Amino acid sequence: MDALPTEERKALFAETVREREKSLYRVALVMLRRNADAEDAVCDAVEAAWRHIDRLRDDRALPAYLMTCTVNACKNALRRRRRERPVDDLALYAGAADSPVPVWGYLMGLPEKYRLPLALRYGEDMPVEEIARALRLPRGTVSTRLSRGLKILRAQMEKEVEGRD
Amino acid sequence: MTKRQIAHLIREQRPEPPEGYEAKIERALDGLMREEQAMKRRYKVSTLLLAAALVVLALAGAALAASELKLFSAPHGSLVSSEGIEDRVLTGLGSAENELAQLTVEEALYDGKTIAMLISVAPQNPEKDAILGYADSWLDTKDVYNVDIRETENGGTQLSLLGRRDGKRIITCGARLLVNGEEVEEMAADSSEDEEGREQIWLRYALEAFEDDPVIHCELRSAVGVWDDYAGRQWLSVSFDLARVQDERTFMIVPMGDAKGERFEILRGYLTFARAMTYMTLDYSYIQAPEEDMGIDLRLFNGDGERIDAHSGEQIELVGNDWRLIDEMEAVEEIPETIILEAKVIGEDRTLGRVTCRLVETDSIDLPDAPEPETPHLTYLTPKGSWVSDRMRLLFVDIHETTGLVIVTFTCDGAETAEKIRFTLLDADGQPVELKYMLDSEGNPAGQYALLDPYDGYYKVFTEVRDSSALSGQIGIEARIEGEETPLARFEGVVTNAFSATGDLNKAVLVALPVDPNLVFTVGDDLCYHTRPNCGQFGLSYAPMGVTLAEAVNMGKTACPRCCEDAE
Repeated sequence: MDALPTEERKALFAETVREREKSLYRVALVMLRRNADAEDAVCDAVEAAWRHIDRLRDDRALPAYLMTCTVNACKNALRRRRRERPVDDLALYAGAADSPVPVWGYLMGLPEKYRLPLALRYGEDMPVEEIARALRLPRGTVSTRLSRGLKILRAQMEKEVEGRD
Repeated sequence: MTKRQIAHLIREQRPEPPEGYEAKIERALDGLMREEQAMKRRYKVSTLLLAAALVVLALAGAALAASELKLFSAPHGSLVSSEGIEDRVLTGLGSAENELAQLTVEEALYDGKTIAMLISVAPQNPEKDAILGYADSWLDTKDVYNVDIRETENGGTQLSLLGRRDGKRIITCGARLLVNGEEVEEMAADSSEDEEGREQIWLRYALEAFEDDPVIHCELRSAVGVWDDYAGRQWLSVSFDLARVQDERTFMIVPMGDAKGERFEILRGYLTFARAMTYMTLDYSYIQAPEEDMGIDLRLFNGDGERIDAHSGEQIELVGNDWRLIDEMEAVEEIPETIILEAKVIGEDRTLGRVTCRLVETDSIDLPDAPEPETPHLTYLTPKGSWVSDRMRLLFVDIHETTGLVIVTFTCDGAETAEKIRFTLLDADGQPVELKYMLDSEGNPAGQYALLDPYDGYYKVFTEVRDSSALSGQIGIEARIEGEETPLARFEGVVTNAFSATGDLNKAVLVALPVDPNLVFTVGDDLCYHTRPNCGQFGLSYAPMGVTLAEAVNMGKTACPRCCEDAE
């Protein structure tokens, strides 16, 4: 049986979860688009991360590890949705509704392959390498999706602005 | 608005978690820490006591294995091999319950890749409630259930469950297994109700590859609820660890003498003998003959000529121009020194030969990766002349060079016409191109079915030619209503390889695709590629506007959403 986590490791884990909980929530929200599901997914991810913390060789990787667990928990939730019931027609997240340019409203309307890298890179300031690890994608694919995602987002926002004019 | 400004806005407008979220996380953390404290306390039992407890547990396990194991007694035959591994089965792995039912993981076995388990779901009130047979097994027990059987409009049969004949309330249950937090695929299931009203469910799951960890953490989840109250279902969850039966041995398959038979050749392969299963990965080449509609089945025999039966559906992948067979078979009592691979024509009592191979033990499996398909594997037909006739309009013709798959997309004057339409491809000399297995007994094109694409509203017909090289230069495509002499329409086009086209990629694709001036294409920037050769999706649905071929290829590719999503 592996050694149980030390007191220091336990404290570090709890501290990192508290530090990153908002980021984890946002990532889960971007993937699942429902508040309640996002909260549940983060709880599942925290639990999974804790149960398998012995796999982590370097505690400095804990934030990235938590993010990977969150992405996995969300994927499980999405798989479950597909199996259990049809995905609801979700209302898009309005974001900062009082903003003249509610960018999160547009962002949440993008396909997941674009909105997730965008939210991680620009919302959470994660380096491309780290995003690639969390999403298990080649670095080049992440870069391409970021570039295209931004392009699509910009086009949609400009279209909206033109429509208003 | 610049990209930098958008990026800034994304960060600035990040949504905040709802009220109560932080408290929820704190509760989750608190629960985990408490649990860990409890575990620590348990580990403070003296070593002597712990050792004694383990001995008792081991003895209890052995006693159960000898007399009461049910894992290998599924009603329709064991889902895994049982020889010599009864003592490796773990029992009493945990249970969970709600007011309706109790879920128990009774027995489980894990050999590094396969997990076999027996679970039970027992109603809390067996006088009033009964568990619905798992995985539609109620269809086999119509004497228990009231079932409505109706013919559907298209000639099928629809079965609807109305209730139990004894009037008991029906409780449904499911089963999903998560290993180390990831859901794993259910490969086989069987179930029956015992005399106490418990639904016993035998399950077999497979991991994608052999897991290195000696212990895996499993969570079995079951959604339990009253049959007609879908929304009221509740999850029951049992978590447990499974230790791996770690004595599998892997062997390289080395042909002795000639590795070839009639039109097939064994290239390389591996066999892994584990306690619950035998796993085979085999690369081979095969040239299909016209009468071999379904291809060949490669069957495994031991050196004495005894068949080693396959356990589950095989998986076949294209590796370059060759094939890779991935199969699971029954475990063997004794690892053979030699094996025989027999190529049997599917659907016929005919073999293409047998190859005898020796097995050489190895530590690792070294097989070439299935290569990414080369990009220029799809070509298009550029219209020559009009593709519009009185009753139909041809939209696209896609040709897959490697497999000979041809996809014809069209509209016509109604569903009835679409259903009866058959296409014949004509080569540059006007001769019909031989179809691979779309001919009826009289040699006429058959097996073409128009499918309405619900997304685009067009019909698509998928067919295959035997030799795609016949489709080069200018070719014809003839549409005929089944049973009618006169063709409905005949069109012509030039086979165009979009990727080998020089100059502007956008032009190459758009020249090949739109034939209807009123058809509006959304010009996005996706350059699709495929991981599965038979994916019917267009290879190049949308090309970037105004970029050269070289630029487009360099800017990266987007996986085809139909065939590549899972791979990601």
